[in-house]
Amino acid sequence: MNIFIKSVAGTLIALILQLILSKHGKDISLLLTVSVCCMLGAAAFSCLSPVVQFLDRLNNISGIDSVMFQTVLRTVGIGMLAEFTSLLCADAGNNALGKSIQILAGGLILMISLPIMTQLLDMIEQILQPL
Amino acid sequence: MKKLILIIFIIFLTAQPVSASKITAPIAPPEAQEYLPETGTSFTSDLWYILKRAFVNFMPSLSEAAGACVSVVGICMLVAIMKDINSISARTVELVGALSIATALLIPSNSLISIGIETTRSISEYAKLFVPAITAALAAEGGPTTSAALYAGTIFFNTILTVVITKFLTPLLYIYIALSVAKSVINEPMLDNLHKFIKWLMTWMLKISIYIFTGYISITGVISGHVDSSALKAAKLTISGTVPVVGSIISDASETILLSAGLMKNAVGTYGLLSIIAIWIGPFLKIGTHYLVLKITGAVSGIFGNKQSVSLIEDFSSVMGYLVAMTGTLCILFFVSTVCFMRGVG
Repeated sequence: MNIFIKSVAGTLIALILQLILSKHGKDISLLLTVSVCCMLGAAAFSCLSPVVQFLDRLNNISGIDSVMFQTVLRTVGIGMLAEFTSLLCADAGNNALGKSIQILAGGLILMISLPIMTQLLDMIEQILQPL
Repeated sequence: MKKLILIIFIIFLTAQPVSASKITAPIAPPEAQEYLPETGTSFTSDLWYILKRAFVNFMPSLSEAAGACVSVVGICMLVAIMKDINSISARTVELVGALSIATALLIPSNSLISIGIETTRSISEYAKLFVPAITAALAAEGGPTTSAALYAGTIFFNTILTVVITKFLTPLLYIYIALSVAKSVINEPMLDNLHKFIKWLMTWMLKISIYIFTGYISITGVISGHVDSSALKAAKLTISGTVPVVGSIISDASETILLSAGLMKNAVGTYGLLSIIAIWIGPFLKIGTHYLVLKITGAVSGIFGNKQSVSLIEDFSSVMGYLVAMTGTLCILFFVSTVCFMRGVG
């Protein structure tokens, strides 16, 4: 909660600063936005660490291979980072870069999830064999 | 005098050796033996014993089901972070989430489908041994027409239903799972329509088989029951009317024999019913537990999860529901026919 209040206060201050700075130069205001966004992103990721711990506990209870959990966790992390970067790029007026990073993230997620797909394919093969 | 001696001689010559035959129900398969009591007391107490034994074995399957579903809830929670974002990476994360859920649920589902098929085969095999025994018992009680009609119907529907379940419904279940996974990954309306059609087809096949069977049983029960009871009444009247002096005594004695045959038939029927329950109860609890736990998982994931993941979980719970229905239909078939056999000629 504390970190959220600090982040809200920081964002409001950054907004006021950005409004003042935008009259003098767009580059500086953009840099300010980027740096504040990075800080907020870092705060968001730090908030997720107890969630990750909880999920780790769930994984231990379930007794299912931890590779699957880790893979999904990685893909979510990549997705969030890509989304974040893409929004920053869009804010800076460069949509092409934003889309490119999204495509790259999509490819990377697919590459990371290959073990899950392989596992699923193996299972389907096993099921289809007696049929 | 000579005539009398000749008559007695002819009677001795034409006499046939007769002995009482004992009709017993076939012994239940080994998987059912662990649930059955060693010595039977009454139907209610034996049934209670089977239920108690089944609930002892129920706990491991509950923890197994809960384990798989906990991991699914975890995956749903993770994927939910990207829920309302409409971008390439978010959609790919959802795809990975759906694939992970499918992988986590396919392992237990596959083993449960195998258990379901095995149970269907066990019930069917046991029924093939049991139905002739109870048919003989009902025929001995004076219902040859009823027993023949019930035997033909039960064996016919048993074979048909077993073939439908193992050869048609099981592959359809796998196709249903495959379509559910594909639907949650691709979100194509065409797949959704095909998915709905397979769901309808499976429900329809099971419903129709049970409707036809109950219809057949009702019709044969009414017609053949009347034929047998009329024949019995006619036979008793003939005996008491034609045989002088001892006619009514013989008629009463035949009544006693028929009552004894009825007792034997009921004993066979009760053991058969208990055996079928014992074969069915273990897999039913296992599959039923997974069904309920998956339903709960679907409801919990529905609070925060994305639509595709929740729909995939619900589809897996439907698969469990169909498995329960498949084994349950065959079980009901034998319950109904055994009760009809036990009801006798009325």
